Amino acid sequence: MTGLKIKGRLKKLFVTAMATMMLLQTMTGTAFAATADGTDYVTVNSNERNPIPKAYVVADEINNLGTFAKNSKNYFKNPQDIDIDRNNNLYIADTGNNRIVVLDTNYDVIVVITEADGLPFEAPEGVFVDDSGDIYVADTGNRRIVHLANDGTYIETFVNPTDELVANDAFNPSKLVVSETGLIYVVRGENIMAIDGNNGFRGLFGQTDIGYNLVEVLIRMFASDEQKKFVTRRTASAYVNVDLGDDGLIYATSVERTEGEIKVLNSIGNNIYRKYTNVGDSFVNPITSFINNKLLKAVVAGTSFKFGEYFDDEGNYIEPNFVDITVDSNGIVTVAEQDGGKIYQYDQNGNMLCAFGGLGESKGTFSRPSSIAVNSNGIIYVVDRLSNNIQIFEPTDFIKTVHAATTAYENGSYDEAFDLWNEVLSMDENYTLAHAGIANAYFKMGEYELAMESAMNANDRDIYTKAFDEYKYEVMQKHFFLIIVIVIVVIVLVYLFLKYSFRAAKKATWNYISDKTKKMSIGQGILFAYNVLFHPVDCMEAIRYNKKRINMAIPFIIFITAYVVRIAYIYIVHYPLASIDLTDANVIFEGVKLFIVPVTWIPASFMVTSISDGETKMKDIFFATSLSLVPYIVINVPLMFISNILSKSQASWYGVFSAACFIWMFIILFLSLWILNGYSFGKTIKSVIIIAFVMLLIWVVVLLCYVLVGRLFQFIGGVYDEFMMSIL
Amino acid sequence: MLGGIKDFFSKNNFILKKIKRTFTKDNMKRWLRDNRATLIFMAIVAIFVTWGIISVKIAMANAVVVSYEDYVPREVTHDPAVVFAEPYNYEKIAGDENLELYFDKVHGTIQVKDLKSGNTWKSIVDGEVYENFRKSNQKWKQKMSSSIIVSYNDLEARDGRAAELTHAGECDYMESKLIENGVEVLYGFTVKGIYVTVQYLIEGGELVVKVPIDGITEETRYIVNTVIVLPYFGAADMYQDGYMFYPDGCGAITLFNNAENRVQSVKEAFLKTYTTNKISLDYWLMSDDYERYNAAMPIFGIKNNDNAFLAVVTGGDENSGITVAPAGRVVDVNRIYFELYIRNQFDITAANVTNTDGTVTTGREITRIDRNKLAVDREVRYFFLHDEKANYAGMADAYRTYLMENGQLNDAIADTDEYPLALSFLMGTTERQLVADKYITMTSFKNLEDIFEDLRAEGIDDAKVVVNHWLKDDEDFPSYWPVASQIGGKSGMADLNSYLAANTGLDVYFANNFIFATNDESGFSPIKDVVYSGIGTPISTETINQEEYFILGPDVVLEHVRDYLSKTKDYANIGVCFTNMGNVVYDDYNEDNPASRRDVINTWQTVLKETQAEGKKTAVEGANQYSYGNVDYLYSIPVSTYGLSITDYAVPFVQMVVSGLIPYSSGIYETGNLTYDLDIQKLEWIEFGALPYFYLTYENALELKDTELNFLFTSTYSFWRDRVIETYKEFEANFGDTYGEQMVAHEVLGEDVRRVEYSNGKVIYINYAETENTEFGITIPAKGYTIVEKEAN
Repeated sequence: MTGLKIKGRLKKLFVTAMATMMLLQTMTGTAFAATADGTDYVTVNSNERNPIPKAYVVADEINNLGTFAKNSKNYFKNPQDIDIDRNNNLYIADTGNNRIVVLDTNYDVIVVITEADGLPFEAPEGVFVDDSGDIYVADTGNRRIVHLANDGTYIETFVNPTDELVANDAFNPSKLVVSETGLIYVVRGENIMAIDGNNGFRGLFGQTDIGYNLVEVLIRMFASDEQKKFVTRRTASAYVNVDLGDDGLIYATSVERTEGEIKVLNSIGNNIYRKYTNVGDSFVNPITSFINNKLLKAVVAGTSFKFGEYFDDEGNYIEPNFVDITVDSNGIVTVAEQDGGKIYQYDQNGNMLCAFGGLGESKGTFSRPSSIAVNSNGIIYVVDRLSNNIQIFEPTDFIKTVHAATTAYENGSYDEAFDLWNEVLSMDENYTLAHAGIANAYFKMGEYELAMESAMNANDRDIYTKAFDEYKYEVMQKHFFLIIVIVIVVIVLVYLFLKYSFRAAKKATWNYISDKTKKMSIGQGILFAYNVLFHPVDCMEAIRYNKKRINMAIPFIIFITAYVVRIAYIYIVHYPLASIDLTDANVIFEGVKLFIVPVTWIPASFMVTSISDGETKMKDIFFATSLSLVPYIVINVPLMFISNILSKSQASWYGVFSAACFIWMFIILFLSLWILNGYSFGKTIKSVIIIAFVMLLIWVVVLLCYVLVGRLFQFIGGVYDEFMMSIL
Repeated sequence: MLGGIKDFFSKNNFILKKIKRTFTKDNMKRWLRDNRATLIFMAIVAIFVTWGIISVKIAMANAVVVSYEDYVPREVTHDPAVVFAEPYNYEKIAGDENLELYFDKVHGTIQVKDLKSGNTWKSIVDGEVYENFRKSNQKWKQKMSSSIIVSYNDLEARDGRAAELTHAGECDYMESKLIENGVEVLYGFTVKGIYVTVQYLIEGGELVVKVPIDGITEETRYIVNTVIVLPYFGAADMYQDGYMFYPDGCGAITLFNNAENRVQSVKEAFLKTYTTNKISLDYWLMSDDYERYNAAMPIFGIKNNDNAFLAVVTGGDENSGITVAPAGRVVDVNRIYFELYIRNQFDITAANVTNTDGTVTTGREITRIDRNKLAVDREVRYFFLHDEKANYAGMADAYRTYLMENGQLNDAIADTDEYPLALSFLMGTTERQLVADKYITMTSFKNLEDIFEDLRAEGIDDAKVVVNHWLKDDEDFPSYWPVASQIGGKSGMADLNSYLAANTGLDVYFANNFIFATNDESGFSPIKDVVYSGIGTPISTETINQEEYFILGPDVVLEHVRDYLSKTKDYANIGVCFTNMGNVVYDDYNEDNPASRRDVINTWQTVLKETQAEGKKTAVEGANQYSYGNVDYLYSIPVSTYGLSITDYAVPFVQMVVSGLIPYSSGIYETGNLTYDLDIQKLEWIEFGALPYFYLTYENALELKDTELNFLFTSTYSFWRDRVIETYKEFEANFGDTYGEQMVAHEVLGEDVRRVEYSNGKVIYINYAETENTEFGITIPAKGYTIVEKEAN
């Protein structure tokens, strides 16, 4: 009955933008994200949802302890952890009832443990069962970890180790695992603490490097000890939960937002799980990247991967909160996200396999998931601490095939993986990872063209690059002489073009300077602009002394050309080098990114120069500033065509050109300020700094106006609503 | 006084001079010129302020001001606390050969005796029905003893949230008089000044409860929002063998005695007939919420041991809802009842507030209520069933008979019709690109004919085909014409039309939405043509990417449909599929042309009738009951429920009502290609009697990946061809003879086993389990089915 769905689902999303300086304001905007409604899905760059066939179906629910007791104790109360032993029995930390419940595979009670060593449990938040069936309980309220035999018999207790590094801090054990070597790893704020069998301290583990902070370094250098006490310590992000893989590695979730929401820690505590890769790693204009990262983080959400998603079902920007993690015997990771109630599953390399669940009242959705575990048959158990129940999800054939395929690939059985991925495609033609798997397989088979096609379908620029490079090499070998001839011809033609065009440009400039009677014609103006590239000083002087005769059509022509070049660039640039997908690009946003600097430079530099003995007028600043876009046009036009024989492996080389372009643009702006105003070099530098500051101020003011106008309209709307309501 | 001023000026001559010097003509002109902008701005502000003041004045003058100060409550006839402590004394007041009606004139409660089975149905809960009745708290005891519960709003409160009056708690005034076939009771609540008249009657072997709209009187600022009559009729405790049936999705069952397998804190299910009674577009666009609350039919049923009844709202059905509360929801009593909405209620979201720290608090929802009643007499009819009819199949049969007798369900399947295949096609869409959007052709008319030919070569001549996204540039609503040139244009459509003339087994329906509109497209006035809410603002979504969605008024819809029909007169063999028309009903408070939900239903029925009168085949998306009378194909009837935790299993109730009369397909995600397991999907089709259904495209589905239609993740015809043909052949061979037959029984034999029986004696056992089943005397293969003929008795 989803006929009501109108072209995908509407998503409102509130874009939080941080204005700099002393102003902290919010602006609201909206964007549109197509979603899967009621179906399971995978995401593209953690943003756009692509529906997939149902991955898991709810097979059953555990709502109570069956015939255990006919009273309120028959139900769970705020259960917070679940673990599964080798025989697929369930161990549930029934936190609110201060007990550990052990259920067999028919979900009948085997034993209910309420105390250890004569002391009743108090709000136990974690339970772990090791391979031999021994139970470890994080008895949070009693600040201890107890070790029990499988039938609940008490064996030993662990308390806070006496090591001076940790002895003074409160010990609130919640989530824990025990390695095969008998070390207990327990989540302890920003670290995982290891305790050995003698309750000895064996180190803090897996702390994230928080990097340097200039302010902190200065404080350390200059502040007195007394002062240092009042400075809050910057801490690494805290761990949330842990699980132990069959490979002996520790799988953990944390609140770290940059590449650390999900971690796989090796024996020395380094994260070896997926590092983010973004669409297009080519050189990015630092200004746009600042705007992207700081001001418009929700607008550009989706240009980079993150674990979980950028938006919840209602389209609100979210920071995922992975409350628990579980890993199966093949290394497939499943995490439960608390706030949106979603279950996300990733393969061994951190690629999303499926997402399902969500908040809701129907079966298969949650009130507040608190823990997750997977058994040896791939059945997932999700504990809900508000609904006080456990839902049991059985994998469908579809997701089972996906698991088999990704595992086969991981184990190096590429042929098997190829067949399995094809089987996945027979159920879901659009499953991205299957296309990536097939692209890899084709690459290994030497079918580079097919690999490129599949890589495009998977939107995987890395595989595409690999295949393209091989393909290029093949073509080169095949048509070596032809290519050499073409290259020579092109070089000659380019040389001739440059030679004659420069000559013409120079001539046009001198004509303009020498013939003082005529106004600049359009053709002359275009050649004049072209001449700026290599004779910026001449050109700027020509403007300075012939201000009256410049043609104001030229700046507009340049602005429009630059814009057209930018749009054409997005269409033409080679796929692996594209920094933005065609379908994600926005005409207005591209224009803003391109013109924000020149357009604010104009008023800012006019303001600054007019109060500091500048000679320039708005008109000539406008003219000169537009000239700064000429290098952009001249470099990008050939570059977008050449990019089609380049791939991501030449990205750094390619980035040099982009960087050169921006440096060139800046030089022209700098010269225009210097020469047109007749400043000294030092004064020019000073002015540039002030102009930069003024530009920033302009942005802030514009942003502020935008926000305030929005608020005004909202206010008027609110008054109208109230009015209409009161006369109802 | 004046002299004084003169004196002052003559003494201080220089002031006058200065004034003269200052206010020269030139100076004035200059001043005006310099302050031009300010003056214009101030003028505009002045105009706005004046306009505001005038409109407030007008509004205040027009506002209905009622004073309740002189209200004198009627004399109290009894104290409910005293009355309900007394024993009950029922007297027979009416009856026929099937039923007898008993009335207790002191309490104002009734009982019904089913003479065929000898069973007495109680309308209230007592110690017999619920062993812990005496121990329940006072409020719930009163509720359970009530024949009527009235919820009311305070007209003068800014946020008028509903409050409740119960019969056994607050009813202190009662009049009853015997009328023909029954009794009329006036329940009065003197403190709040609310009086409600209810008639209990026996008519043709059925219990009929009537609430005449004129019988509801309000004497103070408190006005009735909802009336619930007989909330505990047929209520049962958690130890009885029986269930509650309610029309969630295809039909849902909540067992009386399954409380222990549910969560500790169960919640009620609230269903609203045809669509929610709340008026908000966001709510309808969120299909999840829609499925959560929608009831396709105004019915519910109770089965208690060997007895059952089906309750149907037969008057004012469009303004009713169903509440299902299983045992464990506060009291351990299973109860299910209708809510009769007497007035519309609006939820207004107050303006958002920006806090000082920059965060935004979303505005609070404020509830307001319409002053005017929904002027329809309400009627609820109870059909009593017993023995082998006392189950949901019997209820479906009773409802089907009722609808047919009242001409609300027609037979669209001729005896000669062959078993069809259900198909949907996506023709094309636009992909958003940087400069110009790109049109992607997914299936052209030529492709469609090729596919039909290909299927014919395999012996498939009969199909119900819905053609989606065929409009020019895949335009948004309210566009309904013309056809996209990229898929073949008008000439392609004409070719298809003549192709269909030669292939009468193929019914092709072009899907068209006439109800929703977006301001992205022209062709309607977002002021004149759209639906208004009760607070006088057009109903729309928030503006999202410059798009804003509206609902079109019923007259505009009718006008558009008529225009479409005249434009497609030449394509007589191409039918119309009205999307959303079987899903959506609303009130329109547009001042020029207001319409009630009943008006809208009537318009929808007119639309369907006129389309059929044009000789076009007519399909409707959605299962709402009002379309059953004039439809050839019901497209997208779910074979599942929403899946509330109180629902124990889904039953094909809607399907049993229409089976053999109107062909139907399963829901949009319940197609063969979008399922996670085709074998399971096939079993669901068999269990629900739905046609095998695929949603296909000619071109590769990969093309859709970056479009807004990426829900169709696999659909390529060449890719699915063999599976489609194989499935159809299997269904045609095994179930071809059930087409046109009524599904007369459906039983849940175990967690994974179902039994379905048709009127031609065909019985199908279905097994969803991964293992073979032999429990029922026959072998049902794993994930398979077995067909047997019904035993001779």
